[in-house]
Amino acid sequence: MFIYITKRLLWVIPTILTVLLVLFSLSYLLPGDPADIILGPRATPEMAAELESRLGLDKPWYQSYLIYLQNIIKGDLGSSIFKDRSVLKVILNVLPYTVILTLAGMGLAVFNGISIGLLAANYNNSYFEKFLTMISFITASTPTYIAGVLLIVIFSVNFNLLPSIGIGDGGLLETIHHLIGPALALSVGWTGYIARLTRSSMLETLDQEFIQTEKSFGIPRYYILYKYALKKAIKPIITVIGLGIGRLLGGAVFVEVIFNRPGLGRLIVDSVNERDLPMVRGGVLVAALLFIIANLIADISYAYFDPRIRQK
Amino acid sequence: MPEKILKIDDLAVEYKNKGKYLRVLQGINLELKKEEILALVGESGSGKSTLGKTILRLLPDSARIKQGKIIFKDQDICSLSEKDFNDQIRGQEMAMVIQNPQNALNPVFKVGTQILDVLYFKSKKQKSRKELKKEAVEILKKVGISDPEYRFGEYPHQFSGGMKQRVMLAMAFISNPSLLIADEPTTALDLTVEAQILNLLSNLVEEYQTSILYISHDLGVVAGLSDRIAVMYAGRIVEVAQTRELFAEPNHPYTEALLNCLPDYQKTEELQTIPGQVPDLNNYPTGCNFHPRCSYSFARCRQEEPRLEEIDSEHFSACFLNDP
Repeated sequence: MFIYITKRLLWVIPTILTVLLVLFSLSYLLPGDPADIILGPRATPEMAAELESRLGLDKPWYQSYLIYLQNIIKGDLGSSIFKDRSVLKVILNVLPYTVILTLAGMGLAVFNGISIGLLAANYNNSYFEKFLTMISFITASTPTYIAGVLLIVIFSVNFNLLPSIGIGDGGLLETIHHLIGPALALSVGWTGYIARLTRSSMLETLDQEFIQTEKSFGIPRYYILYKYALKKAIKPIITVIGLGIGRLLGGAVFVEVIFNRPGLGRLIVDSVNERDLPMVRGGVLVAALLFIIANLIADISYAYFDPRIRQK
Repeated sequence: MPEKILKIDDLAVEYKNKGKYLRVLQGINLELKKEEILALVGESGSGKSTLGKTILRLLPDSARIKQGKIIFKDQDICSLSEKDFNDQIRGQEMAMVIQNPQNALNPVFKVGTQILDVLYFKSKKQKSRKELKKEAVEILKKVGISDPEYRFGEYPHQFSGGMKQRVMLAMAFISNPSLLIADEPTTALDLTVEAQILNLLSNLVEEYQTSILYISHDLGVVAGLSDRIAVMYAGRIVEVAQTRELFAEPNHPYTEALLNCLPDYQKTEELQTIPGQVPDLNNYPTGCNFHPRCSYSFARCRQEEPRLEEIDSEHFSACFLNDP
């Protein structure tokens, strides 16, 4: 178990180094001269030279990569080109909103998805199951931005139940009230996906011989379903949840724009539009870290669900 | 005359496949006496396992009982509701051990947890799992698992095949069933382990006074174990007799052919086989199901289906040769 976790942790290092290399090479891979692109046609040569030295473009790439790495290790993500603020501070300001939104969206998707999937597996081959499968398909194929707009039209405009923009005044109830719409919009696609996965994984497990054994020894159906089969069937679902965090972070961009919320996704999109290279690098790095952490948690939780992994 | 524990009366079972029902079992009549080991033998696909699963209601949704009764201790268990069947029969009166111990235990739960749950539901949730643990460890010791206290907390993949089958037997006998359905419990094991498990099974049967329906394709195994043998072919029982009598005087041509297939290490002649294959479910022959492979078949075999009839005391056979 300890060795397994240590191994997983060690794997994080090369992953992060690769992410950093890709982010670093952005300024070389983008077509044209970065200083020109960022500053526009009216830049003076002095301004361009100053920017190039700030971005480290006046040194050979390997030197500048080392400096970049050094700064990152020190926790310095540089400063924004326009806002003249520390990138780290800007990101830390908006990060909680994105983390809460993603967790709430994932929570909803996992809860609803697994519930629908379990019901569908339990009532397999009935009309109820066909209905649930249809719902899964519809939700799985609804893009986040359409779900967001629909939710606003229905719950904010028509029924006036949910706020359509913003994050509230910071109070707990306000925060939750403002979170419902965005979290639902974010969860829709994954709800259907997780539901379908849960159903197929459960059906596959229920087909196995040990389920028959348990049944033949008089263990009741509900117990077999929710204890014995679910724990065996959950592994692929966890994998997908881990990967899903990355997709949800992507979806959060739309949700943050549609519901006018601050957040990491929106920050990255705005920075790309402004060609604020240090901000883009910092934002993507933090997003990548979130993704890596989510997958790490998923990997480690395998060990809880599957004893065979623990002993490896 | 020992009392009957199980009586199967004219049972027919069908599987639904592509909208059509295919008969898998037909006209099954079988009796099992108290403390008797009845072996059910036949080739793969003859319906032996289906019969075992039908008794314990473990058939998939696509299967249905078309007709017939299963009477267990004077009660028609086909008429019980699913809930009553689970509460009264499974794990209380009957249990099953399946062929492949590798897949018989849930890989993600501790062996102890799985044994305790069986006990817990056997006790109708009246006793706590803590109280039951002593009982569970006791039975593990009985089936020959060394250091059961420690093994209790281990997972199935830490057990060998033979050990798993011992655990399965422990789980089956822990509920002290009147009837155990053993579906080829030793087929997946190697020969020495097989002998150990068979030995253990005989001891347990004696101790718990359980009747066993022992499903096997191996006449060699059942010869030493069973009291009586029922031979199945293509969804029907073709011959039932005392074990000794069946080996000494097989009546049905299929039984005879099966016995000829038993390898004998003292003879050097080639292995015998029965020509042809078990008929396809979609395409049963008319008349006797065995006639296309039978060397004695005559006109009537192709037209009528023979019925299981008593040809000697306690010896039944379904063949027109007895009634030309």
